[in-house]
Amino acid sequence: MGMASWPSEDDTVFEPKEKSVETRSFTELYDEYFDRINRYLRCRVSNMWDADDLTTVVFLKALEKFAQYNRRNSFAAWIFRIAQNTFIDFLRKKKEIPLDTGEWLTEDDDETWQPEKTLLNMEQIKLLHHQLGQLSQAQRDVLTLRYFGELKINQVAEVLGKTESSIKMISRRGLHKLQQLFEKEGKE
Amino acid sequence: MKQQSPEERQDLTVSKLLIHLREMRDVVPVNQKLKQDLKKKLMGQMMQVDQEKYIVQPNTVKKNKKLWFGMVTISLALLLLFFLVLRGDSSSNRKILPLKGMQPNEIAALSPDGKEFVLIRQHEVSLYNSQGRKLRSILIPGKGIITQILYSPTGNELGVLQQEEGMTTIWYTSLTTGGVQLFWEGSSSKVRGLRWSEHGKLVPLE
Repeated sequence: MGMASWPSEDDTVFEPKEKSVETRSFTELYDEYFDRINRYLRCRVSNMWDADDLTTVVFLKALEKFAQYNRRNSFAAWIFRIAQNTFIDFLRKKKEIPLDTGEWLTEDDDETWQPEKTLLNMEQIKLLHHQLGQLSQAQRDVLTLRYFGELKINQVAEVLGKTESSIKMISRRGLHKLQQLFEKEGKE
Repeated sequence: MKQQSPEERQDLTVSKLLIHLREMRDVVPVNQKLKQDLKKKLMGQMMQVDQEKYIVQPNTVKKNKKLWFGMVTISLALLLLFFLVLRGDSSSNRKILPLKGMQPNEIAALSPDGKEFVLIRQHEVSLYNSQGRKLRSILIPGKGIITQILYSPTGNELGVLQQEEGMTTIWYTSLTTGGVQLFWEGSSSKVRGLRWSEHGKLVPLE
């Protein structure tokens, strides 16, 4: 028997089903996702210091578990699941009612605050806080992940462990309720 | 003038609401100072973990010596066996070397049972049977140069060492599920190779 001939480029008999693999390093992913996680948590907890502490915890956990992350899955869903679990742990420990009527995102000592927009932003955020507070827990989870965490429906479903159809339904009902609240506010 | 239907009015108010939510999102500030500080902290932790990985604990030295002695003996025996098999090729149908046209910059690894091999050719990793027929491509993330590829003792996994711009990345690939996981990444100067431990764990070699 002679030597085996060298395989040609054309004789592929199998192609992997899914080719999208997350190829970025942890630091690249951190740069991309920090803003989304920080903003999401700042919408969920009653003051920005807690939100910033939670953001720190999320990324420390993410670094610790990064070797376990399967790069064929969505990094957004993975990191937001960590954020969601961290937020739930925080609520349990603090026994805090999410989005209560306490101080929220005050401008004190916040170096990142833009002075020219502060007043308007504060009013808008207080209003948002008030309106989100009138939704159910599930509606808040879905709407904040979807519109403040900027996740897709399937990613929200993955984070919350629900089906896409139930996320769509919760989202639709939540938006409808928010819409009614805005209309009510407008009339007043 | 045409009046809007209730559905059209509903669509309009929902789209206004979505625009409003987007505006709300944009006014929630992000703590940029925390972003910078935390990044430094995380990078510091990554470096610390790297260092700890390569520090041998004093109480494990004796155990490791025995382990190493055993492993070196087994490796030498296997090497000898491999050469004997190659020399007596008339009775072996697992011989795959030499292969025509293999370039010096291409890397190949033989599965433990000798029935398959992987080849890295122009950044593409492919799995072949012993007849030289390509079975499938193996997707390894990253754009670095693959400098080493190793079958696990079971033949079900691969360890891949990749280097790019001063960074070394080690990937772990399951040949059964096709899953790829990042095993380690860090400074290039730290890792010179890979091996599989007797417990089936990937071990970077300093």
